[in-house]
Amino acid sequence: MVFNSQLPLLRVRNLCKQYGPSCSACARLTGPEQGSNICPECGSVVACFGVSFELLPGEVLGIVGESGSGKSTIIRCLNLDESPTAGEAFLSEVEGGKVNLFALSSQRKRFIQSSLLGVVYQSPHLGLNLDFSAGANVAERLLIQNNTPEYRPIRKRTSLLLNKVQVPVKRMDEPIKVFSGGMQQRIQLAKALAPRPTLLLLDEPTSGLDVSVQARVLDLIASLQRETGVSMLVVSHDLGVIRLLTHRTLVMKMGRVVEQGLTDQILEDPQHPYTQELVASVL
Amino acid sequence: MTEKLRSLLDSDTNCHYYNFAYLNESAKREIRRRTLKAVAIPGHQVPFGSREIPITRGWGTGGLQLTLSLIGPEDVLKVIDQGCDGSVNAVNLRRLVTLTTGCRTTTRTSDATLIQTRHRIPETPLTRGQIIIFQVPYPEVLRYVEPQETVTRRMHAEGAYHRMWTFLYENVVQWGRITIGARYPVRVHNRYLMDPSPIPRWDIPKLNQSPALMLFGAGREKRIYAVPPFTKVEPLAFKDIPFEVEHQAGAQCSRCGATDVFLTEILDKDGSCRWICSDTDYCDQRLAAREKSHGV
Amino acid sequence: MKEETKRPHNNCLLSVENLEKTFCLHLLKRIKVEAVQSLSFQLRQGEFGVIVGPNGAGKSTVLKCIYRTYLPTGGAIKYRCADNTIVDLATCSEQMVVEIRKTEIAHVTQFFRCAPRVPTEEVVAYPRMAQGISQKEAVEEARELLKRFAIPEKLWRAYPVTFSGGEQQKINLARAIIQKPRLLLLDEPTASLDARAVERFLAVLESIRKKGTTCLGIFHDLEMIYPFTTQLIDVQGAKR
Repeated sequence: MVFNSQLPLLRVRNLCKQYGPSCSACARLTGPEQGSNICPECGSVVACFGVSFELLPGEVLGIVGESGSGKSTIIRCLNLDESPTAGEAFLSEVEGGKVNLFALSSQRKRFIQSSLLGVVYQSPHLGLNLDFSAGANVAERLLIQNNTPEYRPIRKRTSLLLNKVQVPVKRMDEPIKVFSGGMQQRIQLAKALAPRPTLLLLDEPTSGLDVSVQARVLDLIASLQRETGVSMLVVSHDLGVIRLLTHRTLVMKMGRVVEQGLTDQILEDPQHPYTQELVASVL
Repeated sequence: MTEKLRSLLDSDTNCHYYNFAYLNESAKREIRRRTLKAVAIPGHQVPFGSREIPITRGWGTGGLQLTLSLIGPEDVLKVIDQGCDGSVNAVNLRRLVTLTTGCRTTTRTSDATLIQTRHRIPETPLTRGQIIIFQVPYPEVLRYVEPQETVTRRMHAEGAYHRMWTFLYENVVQWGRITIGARYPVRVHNRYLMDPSPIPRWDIPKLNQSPALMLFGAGREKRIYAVPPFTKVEPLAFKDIPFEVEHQAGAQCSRCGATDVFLTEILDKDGSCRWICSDTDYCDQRLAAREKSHGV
Repeated sequence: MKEETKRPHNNCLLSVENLEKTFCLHLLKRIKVEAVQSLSFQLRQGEFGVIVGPNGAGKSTVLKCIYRTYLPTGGAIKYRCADNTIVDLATCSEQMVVEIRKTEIAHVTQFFRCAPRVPTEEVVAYPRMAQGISQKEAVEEARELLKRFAIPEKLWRAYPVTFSGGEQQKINLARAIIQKPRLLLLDEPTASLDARAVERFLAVLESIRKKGTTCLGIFHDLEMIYPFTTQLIDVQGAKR
């Protein structure tokens, strides 16, 4: 079968992130069995440990877990905003997937961040500049690698993108702070998609939004994925969002991956005790 | 003691109680070394230990320290403030330098070897061998978009200037064109973004490929930066919205009649307004030439 | 992931061998629930298999194991793909399952679930779009199917949540059939349909069977289904 030989778009190996002075006991004394992220010997927080997974082109991978499970840390590391304590990540678009992204220079990281990756954060102030207008926020991404930009084409592309995410173009010059939460998330999406990235990272994209708005934004994300074929990593604590958007899912607890599998299999036939508990707790 | 001081102040000759050019030799050495580094990296801000001198911070201490470090007994100094040799600050700065060096001074741009200026470049084109020293209030051009020094340093190091471009984009969105007047951001040698000090847009084109060495000193902020002779300096502008200098149709100098130089607007006591050349030396030269031709 | 290239005989599409599924409920102090034990059967291309057995005997479990919603705990599920390679659905990789679900096997669940606030015609069109067809064409095909299922045109842009149970089930069926699957798994698809709707549905099934789709399902009303059945599979062991 053809797809057997498909190269994974993203390979993550043994991603670890610790805050604080680490010691030799950190790995052993933290995790789901120990019930804590904090090492009792040195006090460092083990945000995530030993996370490995693959993402194929066009696939949507979900990461589900409760607060403190390390999901957002993974997003921040993969978006090259933070450096992990250990681990490697390979993107097939960067030298055929043979070079560890975390080991690259900050200039190259910024280049990759601005042309191959896109991120949508849970709260707009993390992903947007609240004082600039909606259009300027999207345009900023288009201006990153450009030393001789042209105003009109950039403005045109910005309005196309905002239109695509259903933000009224006539509002594109208004500052971010006057938009509603759902609109701000859409603007984040437009900004993320501006350079036509191959990997989109979504960190709780609809948490905190009203239910009706959430449905619309999720559908927008799903249809954009279908239309552009972009690969996505969706982090959420909401199993409904995971079920809706993802093909496969990782279940995380206390910084470790406890189970991996097809989304419907995770939700209907969970193997790990924690997953069973999580699934049983859905309202 | 007071008598001696008075006699010193009244004297036009070199004052023996101060080191040549006021600063001690190690201070001059540091500033020269920093300046060399700045010249080697066009547009890059080099920190330096700004000395205490008898002028308050914010009144030209950076420019003055550069002048005092570079001036020699054979130099001819010109000091202008907003283009004018006769302004109070220019006069005081000139007096301090002559008091401690005994150097010759001039108002003619073409005769000077060192020109210290606040916020203007002379209209008379500069020549090879001349050094022009700018007084800089705010050396950081990215302050428009980022208040933190640690972040702006990183932005310069990585050449990450997209936030400045976004600022300009917003400007155009709001006003249809870029509205920055003085302190217009320029790109030096295709690398660093630089604040050219609060010179008007009119003077920006003079920075490009200038035969003179251009030095910028910020004493309060403790930075020196430089543009070596014949360096590319271009203003930040969108390809389809070109850079424009100030223009006022029909304005001409009420003294010498010039129309192709930077003019300042003057409001008379009776409420009427007229224009006058900002560069006093240029105006004087034109006037002298006109009178000469009339005289003939 | 294990793949074998030798083929079983007789144009066999699906070969279930000693399928076993045991659930381990950690929340209940790890008690084990044996849902399916040692089930074996074969399905040839074009067949209409029906799984029978009392409630709670594990019929849905078998279908879900084939679709990989459940992870079988024992045995093998050998499926012959369109290019004639054999894949063991019980143990193959997840990427392979995702691909097979897109193009070859469709599952009609007992309970209809879809994305909220998406018009019906798009809900039906999505699986076809996932196969690479443009939205416009997929929606056209969806409309054809909705017509065959007698869903009135004015409801095509309505959200499925506003429909009755029976109507929702029709949409469920439509979105599985639009994929033109080689194997169609049906879990009580006619439960909420009236007699006329069941007839219409069976007519649609017959037409896709003629085009090569193999069906395997669970039906509560065996009388109406019986004439179409080619094989009865007793989930509790004895084969008839």
